[in-house]
Amino acid sequence: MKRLWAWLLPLCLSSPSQADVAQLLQDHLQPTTLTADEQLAELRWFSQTAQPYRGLTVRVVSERIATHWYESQVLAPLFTRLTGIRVIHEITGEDDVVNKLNAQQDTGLHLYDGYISDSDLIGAHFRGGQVLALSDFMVGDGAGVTLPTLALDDFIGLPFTTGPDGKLYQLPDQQFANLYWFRHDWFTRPELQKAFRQQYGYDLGVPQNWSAYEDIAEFFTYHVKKIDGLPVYGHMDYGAHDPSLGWRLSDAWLGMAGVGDLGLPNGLPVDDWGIRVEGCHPVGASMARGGALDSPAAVYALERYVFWLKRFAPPEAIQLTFTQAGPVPSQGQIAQQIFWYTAFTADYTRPGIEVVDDDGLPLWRVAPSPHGAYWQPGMKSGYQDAGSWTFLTNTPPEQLKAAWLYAQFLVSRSVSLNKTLHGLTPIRRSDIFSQAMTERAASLGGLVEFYRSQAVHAWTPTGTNVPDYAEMASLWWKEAHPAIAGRITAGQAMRNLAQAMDAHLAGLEKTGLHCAPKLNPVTSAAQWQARPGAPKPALAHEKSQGVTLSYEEAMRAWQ
Amino acid sequence: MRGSKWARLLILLSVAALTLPVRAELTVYAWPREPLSYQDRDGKPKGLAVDILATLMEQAGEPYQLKFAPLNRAMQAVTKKPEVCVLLLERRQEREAHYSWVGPLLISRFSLYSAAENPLTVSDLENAKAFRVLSHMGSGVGNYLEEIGFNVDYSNHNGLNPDKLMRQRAPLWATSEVSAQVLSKQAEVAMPHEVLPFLTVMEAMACNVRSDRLRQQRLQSTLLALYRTGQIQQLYQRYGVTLD
Repeated sequence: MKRLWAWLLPLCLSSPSQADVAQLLQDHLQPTTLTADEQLAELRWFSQTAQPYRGLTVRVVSERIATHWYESQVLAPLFTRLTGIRVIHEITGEDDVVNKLNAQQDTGLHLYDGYISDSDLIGAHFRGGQVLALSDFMVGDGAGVTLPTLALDDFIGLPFTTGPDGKLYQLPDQQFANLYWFRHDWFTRPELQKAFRQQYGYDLGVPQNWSAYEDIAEFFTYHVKKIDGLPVYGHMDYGAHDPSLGWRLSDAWLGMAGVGDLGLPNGLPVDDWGIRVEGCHPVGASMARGGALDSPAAVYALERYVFWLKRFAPPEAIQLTFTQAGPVPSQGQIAQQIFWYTAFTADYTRPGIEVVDDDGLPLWRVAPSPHGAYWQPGMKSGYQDAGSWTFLTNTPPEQLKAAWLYAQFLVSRSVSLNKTLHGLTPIRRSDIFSQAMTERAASLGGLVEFYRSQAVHAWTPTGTNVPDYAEMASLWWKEAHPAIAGRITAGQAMRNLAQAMDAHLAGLEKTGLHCAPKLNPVTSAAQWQARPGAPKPALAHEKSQGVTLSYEEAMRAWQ
Repeated sequence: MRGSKWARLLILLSVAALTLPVRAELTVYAWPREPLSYQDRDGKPKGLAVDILATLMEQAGEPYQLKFAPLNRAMQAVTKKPEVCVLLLERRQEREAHYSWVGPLLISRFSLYSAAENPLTVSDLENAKAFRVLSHMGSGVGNYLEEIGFNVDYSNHNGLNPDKLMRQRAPLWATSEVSAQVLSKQAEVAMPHEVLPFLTVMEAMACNVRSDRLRQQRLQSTLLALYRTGQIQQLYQRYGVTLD
């Protein structure tokens, strides 16, 4: 890296014609982990490299979170000033981003020059042949427009965006994890600690397993009932018949329960969607084909989700979507939430809200998510989202290069720390370990500690076994909702889901896709369960003794 | 090569359509939205979306009845009977579970426009919030802007907005390229100045969730084939806009 800077600095610092714009922008892009000279050189590289593309307009799209609003409204205009490339950075719902990405692939239209789309789709991208392999592009047609100081080894999310073929298909732009969230101020009240110990025989603290989570949920909803005169609940969730219900389950919920096999990022040979893989070929989701989507562990996962939602969450939660439920804990009546996206951190740390104290510090903390009864050390522990730059091969070459410059600008070290402090969705190791993040750590409730710990490797997105995420993700909410509505049991719902997944995989088997599914023949579930690993046989006792740790102990476990 | 593959698929789909058993005819409710779907003085259906629908149904060999109704009534009708659809609805997450979709049937690029004689310059939506924006009742894009903090003036229908923009009732108008062109021409005012493109909206035909699954799949395949062969793009060009 030092060698690169030695090459870039004299080249770019000696260009007085670009000095004004690059220097002016430096004031807007603080703090940075680069020195002033390094940042100036990098900004001048963008300005110089973009010269052939001045006057072009590029159109990109991303989901509606704070990081992308900042990019669209603040950073895109700065990029235009620097390069002369006009950027239309659209912001819309995540489902709409996926629909548009699919539409461009299905219709052949050139709708966008770039997408910031979740890495959950990596299984489709490396198989489909329509997504640009960035690792090829960077040393091929895109070599001249690839930032010499991009420093790919500084990105924490590249394992999520690399296919089994070793190629990089997406470049992370923002990342957030799904962690356990709780009211630290309530958990440390002596009268509540005493009451909990009397009721359950162990300490009120950060739950390490689902049994403890359930006890704490019951404690607040049925025993504490009110704090400071207001009703309180020991759990928050959502259950509306809506695509977001699918993400509630497909975002590693089964992995947290312990459905899959050992191994990171997703479990091998059976992953956290319950899909078994051989080589790069998915071979089945149902137990009869060697999968685990209808296994006792998967049924347990859905049962606990439904039971807690109905018994411990506020009554209206079952009618809410992800978007509607998201702000509820910040309104001050929720004691804990097992499934909380750190993308909400910026909203949950605003001064004046119910969960921030008079000094502007959060009354809540995040901690490692508790594990379900089937989980074992060495398995993934939770979900992490990596919204990543994705380019399609039908993008006109000049548009593609201009859009690639914009993408790199947003993730460059000149920009990324400034962006991270606004959106709190870090992507670079250098930002995470920066002095600026150290200074903010106390006000972020454990977010910085999570990203600095080893735990970050055990929270992973959907893996490469899912060959058609867009279609297969919709099966989750369609098949699970009847169980939430009480029309069928959790066991029936998971059997239906496993059948639907197998049917979809079978359809893909005929398409001639690269690394296409090759379904195992239907045999007996018992035969598969008798083998080591997933699918696992039912445990005699799924509700073991609750285990908790103090917040400090729980944090040490991450190191 | 790619084009010829899709052309063959279209022929196959058409032949398959002729051999299918007779099923209940689809009723499609359009809502008045000039220049996308409307009735001329003789009551004849017109508009870009109407033309796309006609091409799709003809290619798929699917008989249908097109009726006009206000959007709310059209949406209610879709929930009651299996063989009813509405032309068009934005495919939003909160609507996903309530319909069976065929799309994208219409793709629109939305921008903020100022009057031709008042060419404003605004670099981003944040700065544009200082200005009042014209939209129309039922517009999802109007709601989008309102949700992010814009002061939106909703007209009864979009056709009133070229005149309101010219008379400076508001300095900006949020509309699609095709609507800006056609409605300004009809209002006999100069094509407004495009200030800031900000959103692409995809709309689909939204059908009853219990609609015949095979018919829906066939309509969807036929639609994608029409895009691949360039026939949809040709319809857009008739209205003076391109899709790329």
